[in-house]
Amino acid sequence: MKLWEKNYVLAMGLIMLILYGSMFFVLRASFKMNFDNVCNIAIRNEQSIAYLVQSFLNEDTEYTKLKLYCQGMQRQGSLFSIYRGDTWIVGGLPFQIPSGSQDIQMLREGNTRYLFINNSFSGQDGNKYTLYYTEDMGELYDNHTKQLILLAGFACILSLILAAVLYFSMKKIYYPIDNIAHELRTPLTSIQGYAQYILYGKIKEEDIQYAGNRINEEAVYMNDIIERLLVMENVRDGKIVMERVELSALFNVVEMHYPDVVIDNQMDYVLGDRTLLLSLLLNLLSNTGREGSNIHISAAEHKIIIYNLEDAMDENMAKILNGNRKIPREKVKGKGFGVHLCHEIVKLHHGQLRYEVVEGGGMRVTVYFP
Amino acid sequence: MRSQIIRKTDKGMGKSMAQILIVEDDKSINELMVRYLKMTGHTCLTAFTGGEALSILKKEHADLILLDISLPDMDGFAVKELAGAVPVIFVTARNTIKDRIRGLNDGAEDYIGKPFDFQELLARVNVVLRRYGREQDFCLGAVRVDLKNFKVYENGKELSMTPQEFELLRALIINKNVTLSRQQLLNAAWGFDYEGEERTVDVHIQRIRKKLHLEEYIKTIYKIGYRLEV
Repeated sequence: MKLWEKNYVLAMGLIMLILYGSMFFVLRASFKMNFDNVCNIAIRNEQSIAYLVQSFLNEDTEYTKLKLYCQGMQRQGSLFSIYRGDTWIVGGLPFQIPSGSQDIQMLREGNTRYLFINNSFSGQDGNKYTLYYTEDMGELYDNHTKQLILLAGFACILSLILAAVLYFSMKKIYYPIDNIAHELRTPLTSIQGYAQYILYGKIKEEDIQYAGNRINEEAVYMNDIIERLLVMENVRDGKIVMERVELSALFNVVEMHYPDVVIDNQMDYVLGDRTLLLSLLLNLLSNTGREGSNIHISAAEHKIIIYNLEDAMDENMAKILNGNRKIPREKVKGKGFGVHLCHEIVKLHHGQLRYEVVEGGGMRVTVYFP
Repeated sequence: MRSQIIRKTDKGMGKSMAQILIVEDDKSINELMVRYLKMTGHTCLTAFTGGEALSILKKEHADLILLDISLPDMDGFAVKELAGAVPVIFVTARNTIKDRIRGLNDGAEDYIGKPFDFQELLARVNVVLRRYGREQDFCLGAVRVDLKNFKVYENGKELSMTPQEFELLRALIINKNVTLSRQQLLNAAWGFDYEGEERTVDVHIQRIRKKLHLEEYIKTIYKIGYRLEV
């Protein structure tokens, strides 16, 4: 497992723990509140029933009113029964009366839960009466289950989205590191190999020449990669510090690298990062100017145009160059990623880069600045 | 007079050891592998893409494929799948344990990560060729070395060799035209845990030179080691 994958699993585990943990606590707290509420209502109901029952018992020894009241309450869903001593008088419960002596308890009958309240009082006739009252808690628990399913579903979707977002963003952060390691290894293999070839092989003078050239080329290529790493260092979070960059100063540096280039500068400055802009110009020149020395640069009206009238390019190649994909090394004459780098730099400056074929031979690269 | 005869026969004995297909998209590394393998007497076929490799395999025979995994058109694993029964060594910058395990599980003979040591590459190539019985007798003048059966003949008459002498000779033959250091020769003939003097190698080389009359071919490379030049 790669380091970033480990980090990912760790971060994801933590997020899941927080998400599901907080969900659990919220659910628990809301359930407890509802439960207390229902219990309070049940106790109040029981007390009002007890009061009525006592008055019925006092005025009516045949219990007729009491029976009618009990039936009426049963239809409304309030279940209770009344005992004189151990003798049943009226009412009915959905379960056997438990033997415990607690005043309030939770009971379970089949899939339904009940709140059970027992309340004893003495009648005017001197007998001891007991009221057994139950409240159906089924609805409360059903609601709780529904909430649980709903929230779990929501948390699942949320964690899936989070997992995906986190995965791709972490992969994006770590991917260039993998890639750079790969890109550095390739020239290193050549350098090591050709050095050993000179050291250990039975070879001729021309082979030594060849191997030396190769080592040199690959070292230059490695230097390109390192330069790119340095350029990337100027870029933080995909943003750059925009500042006024005098074009004439930039072109002076360009002239030092390419003394033959003809420069026609009509612009004062551009907004952007000096190092990146210089790297852009030098890369564009090395891409366009690989063959032929007849190169013109003109800068005017938010555009920098580089012409090379000697190096031909076909439409297909222009398409590849405009594509902003990483270009296979053998497709371009150089090493390929200079083109990609140019696109990246222009994108950071919110500009556009266009490679075009010039009718009658040659090519033109235009950088549009906003 | 003697050396003249040897040179003459030598030309006749220039047959290749094995035909190896190199599939590597980086031109510089591809060329380098070709040079190394040719130097040690193999013939090479080269391809820069998976497609090219497969079309070459339709026409030509290969004893071994050196295969890069990241190819422009297809994955090296897929090329191996389509290449059939030809033994494959993966040579790649994809160097994670996961890739190595996948490569070896897919039935590759070996897996070499970039950057690699070219002498190690040659050694691994030869191990695979030996495993597949593709090692051919090595002939130089009147000397014939039967690498499979550990026997050496001069003018058809068998010479007695100690195991160390034979292993030294084998190391020189499979790395012919490549300089081997004394330490490498020591490792080849006595194993890695042998803690003997590097001078031991010199003594044995002297004996081989004398016994097989190869004074002219086994060259001392100043400050490094020895090389069999053919």
